[in-house]
Amino acid sequence: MVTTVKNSALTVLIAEDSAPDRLILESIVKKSGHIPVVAADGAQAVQAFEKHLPDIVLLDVLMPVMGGVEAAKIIRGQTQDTIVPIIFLTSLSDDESLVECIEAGGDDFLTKPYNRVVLESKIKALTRVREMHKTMVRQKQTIELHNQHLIREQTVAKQLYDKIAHSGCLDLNIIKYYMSPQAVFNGDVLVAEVGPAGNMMILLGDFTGHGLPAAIGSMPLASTFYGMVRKGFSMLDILTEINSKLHDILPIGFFCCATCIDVNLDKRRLKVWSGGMPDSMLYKVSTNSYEIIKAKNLPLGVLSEKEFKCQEMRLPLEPCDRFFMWSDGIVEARNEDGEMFGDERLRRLLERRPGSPGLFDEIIGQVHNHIGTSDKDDDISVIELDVQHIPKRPAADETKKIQEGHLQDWAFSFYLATTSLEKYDPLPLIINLINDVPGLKERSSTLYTVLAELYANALEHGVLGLSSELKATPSGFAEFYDLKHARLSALDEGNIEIDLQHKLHPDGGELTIRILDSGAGFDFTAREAESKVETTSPGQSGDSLNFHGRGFDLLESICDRIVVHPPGNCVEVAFVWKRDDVL
Amino acid sequence: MSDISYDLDLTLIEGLRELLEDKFAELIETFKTDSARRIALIARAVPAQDLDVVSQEAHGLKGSCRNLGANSLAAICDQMEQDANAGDASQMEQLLTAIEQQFAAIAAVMDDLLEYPNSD
Amino acid sequence: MSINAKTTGDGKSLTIVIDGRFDASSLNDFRRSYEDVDAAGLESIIVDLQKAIHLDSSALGMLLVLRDFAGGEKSHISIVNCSPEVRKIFTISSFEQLFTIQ
Repeated sequence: MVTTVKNSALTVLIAEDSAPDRLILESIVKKSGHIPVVAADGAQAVQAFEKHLPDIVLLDVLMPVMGGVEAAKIIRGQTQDTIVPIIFLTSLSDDESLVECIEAGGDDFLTKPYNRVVLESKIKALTRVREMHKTMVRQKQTIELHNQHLIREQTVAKQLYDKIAHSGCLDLNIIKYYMSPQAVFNGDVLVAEVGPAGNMMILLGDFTGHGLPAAIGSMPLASTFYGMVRKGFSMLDILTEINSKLHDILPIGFFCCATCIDVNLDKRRLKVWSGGMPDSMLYKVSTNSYEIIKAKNLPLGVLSEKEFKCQEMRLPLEPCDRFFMWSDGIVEARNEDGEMFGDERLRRLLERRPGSPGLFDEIIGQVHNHIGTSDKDDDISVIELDVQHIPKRPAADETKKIQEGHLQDWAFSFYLATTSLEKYDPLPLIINLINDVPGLKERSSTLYTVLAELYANALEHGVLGLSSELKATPSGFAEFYDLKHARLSALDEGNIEIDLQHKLHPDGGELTIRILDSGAGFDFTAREAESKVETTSPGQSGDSLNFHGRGFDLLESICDRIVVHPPGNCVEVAFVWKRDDVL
Repeated sequence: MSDISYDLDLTLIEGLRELLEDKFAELIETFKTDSARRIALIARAVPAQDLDVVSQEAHGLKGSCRNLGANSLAAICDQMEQDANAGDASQMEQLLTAIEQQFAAIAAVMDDLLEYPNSD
Repeated sequence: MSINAKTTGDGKSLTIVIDGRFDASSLNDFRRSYEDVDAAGLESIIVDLQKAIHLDSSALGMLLVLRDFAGGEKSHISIVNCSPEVRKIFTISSFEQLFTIQ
C-alpha cells in the first residue's frame, strides 16, 4: 500500500500504556511515513519528549505513573515558541474530561478503535497548522526586522531632513513656530532663509498624505528652497522650480499646499504666495487690524512647469507688523465630539487682542484645550513672524587665506538681449560668480544690493522708461509694478550689458561693475555738485527727486566711486574691499 | 453458560493484519498476554473490593478490545468500569465471569485466525 | 459609502455619483468607477457630490488622478452639486482652474 503523505517524515511520540494499542499506533505512524517514538506512561513521555523533540505527540489520557493531562501540561511548558500539536488518545466521552484535555493544551482527540485514515488526516491537519504557525513566526521575525530597519532608516532620514530643514534661519528670534511632533513626518514642512539682498523667505508646506511620500517630497523642497534663496533667486523663480521638482517626483494626486512669503523690510514690502492653504493674516500695526490673504494658486506639484502660473500678492509692510500662517491642521483640529476648531474660533481669537505678542502662545493653547484628551493631535503647524530688521548674521571666517583655484583677477561681460529681459533674472548667476571670489564671497549680500539697484535702474528706468515718482504712494507702488509687467511683456527692443572686473590689491581687492542699458539715459548734473558722483561730461538739466528715487544714496554709501557715463545710460561703480574690513 | 455469544469484528481484524503485516502475530500475542494480565488483576481486585484497580484495568482492557474489534467484550468492560467508578460492586462477580468467558472464546478465534489466515 | 457610475448620451458622458464620505477610504471604489468604463468614446465626466458628506485632501488627489486619466489638460470634468463647505475646499485649492465646478 502506498502511503499518502510523504512531504517530510515527522517524529511522532506515542504515549500509551496498553501494549497492543501502542503497537497499532506505531504501525499506523510508520505506514504513514513518519518516525514513531514510544512511551508507556506520562513520565516516560516527558522524558522521550525532551530527548527526541517530536513534531507531534499522541497522549493516552489515563496512564499509570503520570496521566496524559499532566504530561501535556509539562510538554506545553517546554514548547512556548513552537507549536507541537498534542492529540489525546481516549475512550472518554464525558464532556468534562474533554474540557480538561483542551485546557491542558490538547489540540485534538483520537478515539478507539484507532483508525489509520482518521489519524493520518489529523496529523496532516495539525501539521498544516504547525507550518502556518512556523511561517507566521518567521514572518513576524521578518516584519520585526523590517520594522527595526525602517525605524533606523527613518531616524537617518529624519537627521538628514533636520540638517537640511534647520540649516536656514528658523532660529531667528523674530520667527515663532510651532509644529506638533506628528506634523514633521506627516508632511508639514517649514523652511526659512535670508537671501543675499537681506530679504527673508519663509515657506510652510503641507503635503497630501502621510508618512514616507510626504517626507520624500519635503527633501527636494527644502534643498531647492535653501539653495535658491541663498543665491538670490526671486520667490516666483523658487516656487516655479519647487513646483516642477514636485510635479516630476510626486505621483499624480500627491501635492503640497503651501504659503510662502518674501519679506523685505528695507523696501517695506511683503510678497505672499499661497496655494491650497487656509487664509493667512497680516497684522498691520498702523491700522491695528488684519489683512486677510487668501490662497489663489493651485498647490505645488499639481501643474506641469508649462502650466504653472504664479499669482503673488504684494503688500506694504512696516516694522512691528506681524504675519501669521498655519496649515489646515489647526482649523481642522477636532475635540472629543469631533467638532472642529474652525475658522470662526480662530478669527475671534485673533480679533480679541489684535497683534498682541502673546497671541501665538494663546492660539496654540486654545487649540490644545479644544483637542483635550482626544487622540487627534496631528499636523498642527503655526508660524508667526514679528516684522523686524533681521540681525546681521555672523560673518564668515575672515582669516581665511586666498586659496588656490579661486578667482582673483578676472573680468566678466554679460549681455542680455530683449528676449532675455522679460523673465530672466541675471543676479543669481552673478552672485554665484562673486561667491567664487575670496573676499567678495563674504560681502555678497552687500554686492547683491548694489547689483540689484543697478540692474533695477537699468531695466525699469533705462530700458522700460518708468518713472520712480510713481512709487511714492502706496497705490502707485502697485501701479508701478503693473506697468513694469505690462511694458516688459510688450518690449520690442532693449538690452542690458553688465561688465565686471576684479583686481586683487595687496590688502584686498577692487570690483568694478559697469551697467549699460539701451535706454535714453537720465540727467545727473543736479546731483553732481553735492556728491562724489563723477561725470565724464556735462549733462542736461533735470530734477533731483528723480535722481534720489533711483537709489543712488544707497549706492553712495556702499561704493567707493560712482561714475555715470553720458547720456546717462551707463553707470560704473567701484567697490574696494580690504582683508581686515569689519563686515 | 456454555453457549457464549460474542461479537468480534473480523473486517477490522483483517484491516489490522494488512496494516501490521508481519507484526500481526505479535499484535495478537500481545493482546492476549496483556488482556490476560489485566483480567488476572481484576480477578484479584474484585474479592478485595479494590474498585480503583478494577476501574483502571477494565478501562485499559476496554480500549484494547475496541482496537481489536472485540466489541461485546469492550461493552462488558465499560459496564464494569462505570460500576467501579460509581462504587457499585453488586454485579462485579457476574461481569468478571462474563469477561473471562468471552475472552476465552475470542482468544480461541484469534488463534485460529493466526493459524489459518485466509480461512474466511 | 457608495460610488456609482453610469454612462449617458451614447457613451459620451460618464456620471460618477458619490454617496457618503469621499476620502482615502473611497480610493479603490472611485478608481473602479471610471476604470471599468469603456473610455474610448468618452467626452466628458461629471462628478456628482450632492450626497458626499465629507471631502479631504486625498479626495482632491483622486480628482487629480481622474483628470490625468481623462487626458489632463484636454479633459472635460465637471464637479456638480457641491455644498458650500465642499465648494470652499475647492476654492482654497484653486481647483476651479482645473475643473468646472458648479
